[in-house]
Order: sequence, then structure tokens, then C-alpha cells
Amino acid sequence: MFRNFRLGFFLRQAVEGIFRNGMMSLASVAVLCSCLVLMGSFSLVSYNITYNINAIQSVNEIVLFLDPELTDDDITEVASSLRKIENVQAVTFVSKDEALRQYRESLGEDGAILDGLEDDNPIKHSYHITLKDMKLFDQTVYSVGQIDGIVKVRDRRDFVQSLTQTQNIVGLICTWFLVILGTVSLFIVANTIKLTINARRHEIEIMRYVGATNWFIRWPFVIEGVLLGAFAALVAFSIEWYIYIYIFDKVVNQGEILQLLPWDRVAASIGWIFGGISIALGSLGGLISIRKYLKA
Amino acid sequence: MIEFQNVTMKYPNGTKALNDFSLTIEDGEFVFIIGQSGAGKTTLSKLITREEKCSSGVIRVNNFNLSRLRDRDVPRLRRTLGVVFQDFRLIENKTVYENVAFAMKVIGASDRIVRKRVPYILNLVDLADKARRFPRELSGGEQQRAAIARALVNNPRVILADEPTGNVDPKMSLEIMELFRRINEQGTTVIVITHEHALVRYMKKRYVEISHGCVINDRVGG
Ligand SMILES: Nc1ncnc2c1ncn2[C@@H]1O[C@H](COP(=O)(O)OP(=O)(O)OP(=O)(O)O)[C@@H](O)[C@H]1O
Ligand SMILES: [Mg+2]
Repeated sequence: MFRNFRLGFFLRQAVEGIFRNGMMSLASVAVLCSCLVLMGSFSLVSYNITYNINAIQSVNEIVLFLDPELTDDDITEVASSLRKIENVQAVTFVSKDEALRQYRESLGEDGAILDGLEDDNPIKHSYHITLKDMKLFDQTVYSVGQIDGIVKVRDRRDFVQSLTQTQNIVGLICTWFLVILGTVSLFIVANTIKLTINARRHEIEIMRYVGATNWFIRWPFVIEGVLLGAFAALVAFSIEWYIYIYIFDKVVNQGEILQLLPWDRVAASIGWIFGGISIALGSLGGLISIRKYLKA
Repeated sequence: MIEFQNVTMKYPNGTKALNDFSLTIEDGEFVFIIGQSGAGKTTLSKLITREEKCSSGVIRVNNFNLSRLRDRDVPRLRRTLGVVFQDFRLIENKTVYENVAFAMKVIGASDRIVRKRVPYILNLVDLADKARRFPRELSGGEQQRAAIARALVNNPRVILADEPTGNVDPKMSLEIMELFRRINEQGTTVIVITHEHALVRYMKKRYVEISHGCVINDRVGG
């Protein structure tokens, strides 16, 4: 009979409002959508950096190549010296045959180019050690270097460091973009809805005179904002998807060192981010724009 | 019942629009409020609808004590009042029917009730045949009748009309007065603010004359 929430009425009012100011609605969807795509892209870059850092096998691993002249006893000796170093967590021996096999595997079909090397394997025996604390990296590498019989030390720290750095920068930019673009979108959405409110100011006046509650007056505008937001989120999601698949194909096909998360694994979080941000911005825009019309 | 007890209303700029003003209007009465321009008539109306708050005194409207009324309860007060304006304030892009239906829908009435009630009210104000017209396609008198229909549709206890005949020719003014009389005969309190003494003389109802924010005359007849 009489209810304080009439979804049908609110929706109709909201949709009318969107089409009444078609161009402005389109503009706010476009702006909101660009903001979302930018934010989404930054998030995706950030996700993939994390993914790559984790994917790089044992990033805190250092590979120590041994002097080919060493006897088996010497090799065991090196291992016990390594274990004596405080920051060393695990020590694994990788023979040169094993190393060649792994290398061949990593090449996949191209592994055939290694045929014939079995008898004249140029790779050296190695110890793979992992560290307890990456911060003590330099000291540990120095200590390891002091041990007799180690001819070469290989680590991926520079790579990891640059990835981590990039991630921090991306995170920072991402946050700022979120703040700036969020504010811009909010402003545009609120102004779009203000146009609707202006076109409806006589209706609002009548609503107040006949005793409509403040929420009854607000809902259509909040819903208008949510609809604008939801539409922008939908479009942004499709664009993001398209861009991602495109880049994913490129990266995977060109066999880059970097790996990308498949879309399926990021789609949900992108969806939640887009949905959450746009609906929050949309409804907030609606609430802000109606505020001054509701003074009792 | 509407009751003003020693009400003083001072606008923020210092103008005293009502000064120790007292007035009682019983349920079912028909009352004219008259007085010169600036006497405080519209202020009285705005105090009743709680568009303004009084500076001191007590105002009671339909069992609501307005000085204690919380903002969020104002809609409940307003649902007991039907307000009619000099300039009609119909929504231009809605038909007569839609204008009247709108007033019901925005207080949450279901479509079923709206469909039953609106034609009944339009019939009451004699606009059934013009339900599909837009306000610009109606005469001033017809627009005002549409506005009265809108004020009536939620079945208020009081109809409050501020200069309802200000934009309507004299013959139509009398018709609107007859409409108010019919509404009043069905039990609704009717308060009409007007400049036109002729209407008061014609209707022979109670009239309250205000001057400088005080009641200077309160009698029946014309
Ligand atoms: N919003 C306001 N702010 C300040 N003063 C106001 C305001 N509204 C009305 N007044 C003043 O209060 C007094 C009473 O005004 P009110 O509108 O009640 O008169 P009225 O009797 O309705 O006059 P009229 O017949 O011309 O409509 C006037 O002196 C007017 O100038
Ligand atoms: Mg007035």
C-alpha cells in the first residue's frame, strides 16, 4: 500500500534522468570509465610484478659454481664451509649433468641443440644456497666468495630489486591516480546528477510539500549515480579485458622472460575493484548533489 | 486542529512577521485569513507547514507539536496537510492525471491505489475529461483545480490555500470557492488566505484579519 521504498518508481526516475541529460551522462560514463581503465591497468601491472617476483624460482637463491678441478672430497668440504655461514639456510648440490638436463628441459623443443654435449658438458657443478635474510645479502655473498674452490657467484638480486622498486612506484602512482581520478569522476558524476536535479526542482518541491521522506527524494538520484557507475564499470571491464588479452598474447607468443597471470585469475579482482569503485563514486555523487535540496 | 499560542516569528533579518499571535482553528472549519500585504499571512502558512520555525510560542497542527517536531518527522506532518499555491506549481511535463498521481506515488502509494484514487479525485474537481491534458493546455481556473486535486489526493485533514484565486478570473474564483465549500462539507478543514474581501462576503464563513502580525478581527460572515 504505502511503502518508503519503491524500486520501480526510483528506477524509472533514475533512467529518465540519465536520458534527459544524455550527453552529460555519456560524458560522465566516459570519464568514469577512463578512470577505471587507468586504475585497472595499474592494478594489473602491480599484480603481475608480484606474480613474477614470486614466480622467479627461489629469488633468494644464489648459485655458486665450483672449480672443475675440485675432487669429491673438496666439494664436500665446500658444503660444510657454506653451512657454517650464519645466513645460509639451505645448501643443495646440483651436478653438471643435472644442470644440463634442467637447461635442456627449459628450452623445451629447442632442447635438441644441446644434443651431443653430454660427453663434453661445459657447465660446472654448483651449489644452490638460499638465504635466511635478504638484507644481509652483500655480507653473505662476500663470505661465500672467501671459500676456496668457488669460481663464480650468480644471483638475481638486481632483477628482483628493480621489480620491487617498479612495484612500489606503480603502487604510488596507482594510489595517486585513484585519488585524483576518483575526485574528478565524483565531480563529474555529481554535476551530471545536478542537471537532473535542476530539471526536477519543481518536482522535488512538490515532493517536500506532500510529505515525501528525504530518502524517497534521494533514492532516484543515488540510483542514477549507481546506474552511471555500473554502466561505466561494465564498459571499463570489457576494455580492460580486451587490452589484457591483447598484451597477454603478445607477451606469451614472444616468449618474454616475464610471465603474465592469465585473465581468468585477475578478472574477479578487476571486477570487484571496478564494481566497488564505480558504485561507491556513483552513489556518493548522487548523495552529494541532492544534499542542499533537502534542508528541512 | 490548528493552534497558535502567543507565537512570535522573527526572520533572520530582524523582521517581526508575527507578534504574540494566537489563533485556534477547529477540525472541519472553513476559515479565511485576510490582511494587507506584509501582514504576515504567508508566514502563518509557512509556520503551519513547518517551512519556518517560530521564534517563541507554541504551535500545534493536527496533534503535532511543531516546536518539538524532529526534522525527520516533518513529512508525517505534511501528509496531513494539502497545500495550494497562487501559482499552481503543477509540473509542466506531466499531464493533470500524472501531476495528481505523482503526489501519491512520492509518499509511496502502490500503483493499484493510485489508479483507483486519482480518477475519483479528478471527478470531484470536475476535471475528469481533461485528465490527459498538460497544464499549459488548461485555463488558470482549471490549473488551480488540478492543483487542488493534487492537494486533496492524499486525503489531508487540512487544505491550506495561499491566494488560490490570485491568478484566476472572478467568475472562476467563485467556482473554486464552491469547490472548497464542497471539500469542507466532507469534513476537511479549509484555510484560505486571500486579499479579496468579495470572496469572504460571498462565502459568509469565519474570517480572521491580520495586521502587523496580530489578529485584529475574528468573526463570521462578511
Ligand atoms: N524570508 C523572509 N525573510 C525576511 N523577511 C520576510 C521573509 N518573508 C517575509 N518577510 C517579511 O515578513 C513580513 C510578513 O510577510 P508575509 O509574506 O507573511 O506577508 P503576507 O501577509 O503574506 O503578504 P502578501 O499579502 O503580500 O503576500 C513582511 O514584512 C515581509 O517583508
Ligand atoms: Mg503572502
